[in-house]
Amino acid sequence: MIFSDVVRENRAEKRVPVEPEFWLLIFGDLFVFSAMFIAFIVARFESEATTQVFIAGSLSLNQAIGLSNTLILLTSSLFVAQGLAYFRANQFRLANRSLLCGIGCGLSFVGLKLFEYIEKYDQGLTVTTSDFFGYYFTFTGVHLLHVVIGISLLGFIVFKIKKQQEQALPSQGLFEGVACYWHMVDLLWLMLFSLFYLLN
Amino acid sequence: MAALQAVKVNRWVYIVLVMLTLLAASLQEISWIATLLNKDSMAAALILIAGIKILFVTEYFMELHEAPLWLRGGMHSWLAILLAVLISAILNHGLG
Amino acid sequence: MDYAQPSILTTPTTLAKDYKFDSALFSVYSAAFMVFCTVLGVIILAPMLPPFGQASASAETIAAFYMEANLQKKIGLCIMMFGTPFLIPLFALVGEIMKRRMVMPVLGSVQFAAGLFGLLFTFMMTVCWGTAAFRPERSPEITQALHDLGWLFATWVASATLLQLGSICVAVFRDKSTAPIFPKWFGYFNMWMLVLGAPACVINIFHTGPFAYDGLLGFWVPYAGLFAWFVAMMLAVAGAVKRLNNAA
Repeated sequence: MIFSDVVRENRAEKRVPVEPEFWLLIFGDLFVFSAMFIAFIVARFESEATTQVFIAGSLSLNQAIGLSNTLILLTSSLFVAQGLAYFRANQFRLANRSLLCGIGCGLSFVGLKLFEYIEKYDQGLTVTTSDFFGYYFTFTGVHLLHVVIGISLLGFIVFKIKKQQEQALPSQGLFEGVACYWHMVDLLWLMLFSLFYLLN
Repeated sequence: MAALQAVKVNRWVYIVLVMLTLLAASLQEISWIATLLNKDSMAAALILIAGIKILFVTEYFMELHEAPLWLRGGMHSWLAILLAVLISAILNHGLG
Repeated sequence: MDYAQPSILTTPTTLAKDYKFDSALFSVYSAAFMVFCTVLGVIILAPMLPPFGQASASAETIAAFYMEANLQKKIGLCIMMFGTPFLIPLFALVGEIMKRRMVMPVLGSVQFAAGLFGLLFTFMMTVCWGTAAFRPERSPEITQALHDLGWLFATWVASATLLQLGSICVAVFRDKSTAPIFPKWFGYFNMWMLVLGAPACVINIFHTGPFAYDGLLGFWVPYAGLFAWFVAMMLAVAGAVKRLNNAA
């Protein structure tokens, strides 16, 4: 089976993606977001009343956009992973194409999110409307900031590959680092989606 | 070559992730599941599904399946602890 | 003052020889003294940190807070005020390492200036609280305003420190010399602090919840990060100084 072939081939050499110190950043970010997730759940179950507020808030979110955003981000993660694989195989044109598709997905995410924010604002729901929306706007806002940073980093990689061609390509470590960061952004959204949109 | 085999693996992982996402999104629509699980178990199940998706992303997209034990173990521990805290909070209606 | 335009015939080791870093460890001791004064002053004596529930508290509650153990608060704030400037030598040292040893003069200046701004705001924070504690019998609204002002000076101004962290990050990762002066983990650590400190920039909007100045992300995470950063800075800089003196 394809999985076990890849695994068996690589089991000989265990490698740390990027470098060991990089994972300080990833685990650090995961730690902060974990604190946020736990704070959200604790607030949700503080009392029967707050649970109702959270359920109502969750139901008023645009489920279609939420689901679309999740699928879009998963697709972008796929493209970035493919881009890295092509880069390793020295197929730079395909790598750039994949990365650009990933960036495109990322931009769609940003666009849909902003549309959603504006939609909520038009409905009179803002960050101070209720506890739920306080959490919603701030948590997804922080995540959105991460997405924008991720898109910039991916764009930087694309630029480096395109512009420099053979000389001074981005190192594999840098590419892996940016890719891991993007996967982390995707991973965080998977949890955010479940917490905000699906728990009702 | 290993790099391009990864392309195939990633595609399968992606399909699994999309399936899990659609499953989670429609879990409440499936009537027999909705009657089987009460509200809290449903929420716990949804968080668990999210956790499985995160596991797939870290294992295959972040390439941790070929990482040394400290890194892989660290990531799995984090995920396990987070899921445990969230699910116990859901089932016990808050922490302590 | 001519900053190093490294001549082609000079190596980094020769460069380092031109600058005396042998007394540089005093900067680290000085920073340790500042941390000591901070902990003793605003955490132990005048427990201004942590601000339990004060972002949404009424003016009367805040006024009562300043009335009780008022002298203890004044003394604590006094110690904090005295110890604050002792962080300057550490920022200056990091700046000089970046300017001379790493040959990044602008980044070094940015780091130092941003650090000074952060310290300035720390002074303002202490002055605000000190004024509130100075005449606790005044109108509660005024006391509350001064108290909130102090907290906004303490946390909301995080962007200055974020700029400092960012400049250190850039310097560490752009250091392509054979013997990098700062370890890689320090660069990633500063990047992590950037993430931890970013939510502190929106605490002016919220009275309750995690992003208020007494909340999980408005107080606990940024300040845990800040103290961890003090420790990391002292360790990394001490290591860098040792490396500089060995090279010389």
